[in-house]
Amino acid sequence: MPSPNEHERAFELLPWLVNDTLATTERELIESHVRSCITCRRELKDQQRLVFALQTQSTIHISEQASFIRLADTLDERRPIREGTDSSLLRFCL
Amino acid sequence: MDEGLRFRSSSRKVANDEADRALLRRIGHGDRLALRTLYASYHQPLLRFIFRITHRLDLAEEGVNDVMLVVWRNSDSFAHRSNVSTWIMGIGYRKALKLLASSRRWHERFAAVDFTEWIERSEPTGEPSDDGDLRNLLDEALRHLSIEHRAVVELTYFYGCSYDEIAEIVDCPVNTVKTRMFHARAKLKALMPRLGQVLP
Repeated sequence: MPSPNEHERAFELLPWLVNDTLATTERELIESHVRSCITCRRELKDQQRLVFALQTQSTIHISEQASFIRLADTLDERRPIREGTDSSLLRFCL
Repeated sequence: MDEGLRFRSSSRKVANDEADRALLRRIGHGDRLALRTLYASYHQPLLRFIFRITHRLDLAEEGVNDVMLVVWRNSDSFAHRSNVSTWIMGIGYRKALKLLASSRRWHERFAAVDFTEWIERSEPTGEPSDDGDLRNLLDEALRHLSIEHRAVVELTYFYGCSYDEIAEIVDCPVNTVKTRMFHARAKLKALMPRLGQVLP
């Protein structure tokens, strides 16, 4: 039977178990708890569904190139253009 | 590129970070081509993130360029203890809050403006699917979260950030990140009781 503290800690960290960013030791502890806890297993499933839904949400379509041209117009000249930068490439990217 | 994947796999993260650091060094020498390359990598992630915070596409567009202007002018101030992506998203978060605050002040002083047309410019990719309704539901539920909660949810689930990275991006203690996520999850569950039944 898992202790309440162990359960609370595992439950709290489930989002980061799902996105795979926990340190190894922490991940192993949480995984071990989840194996024996039906509440956490159900929550883990819900978390995975949430990630899926967010990952498949719509993308915003804005022209990156047009946006960059606007930025390029506002760049100040405090920083000199590095010597040796290919000017034809620069024209292309601006 | 799927902007969400940028932050996910640790090996990719390291590879990306090394490339980003090299670009920052070049930007420090005034290399606009390096800025262009970094801009291409971060345009979509920043646009989505700032849009998620502000719910205004015009502010999101403005915010992306504000962030990249900071990067251009202050690449030297990048603290090497963090990843470049964490540093840039942190600037993005602060810019989003600032833009939202000044927009609200403007809104209070002047007329109410209908920004629906801006929102409608955000179009889904791919074919409509059976999950469309659910995604709309999720989108609506996320709008009911506070800005702080929304940021933590987005950074965790979409960008795959660790709680340490999120703490740095939103500039708060790690325990606050965990608490915000805990409350955000509870609120999302209350707003979306059908989550378990609808999603695959």
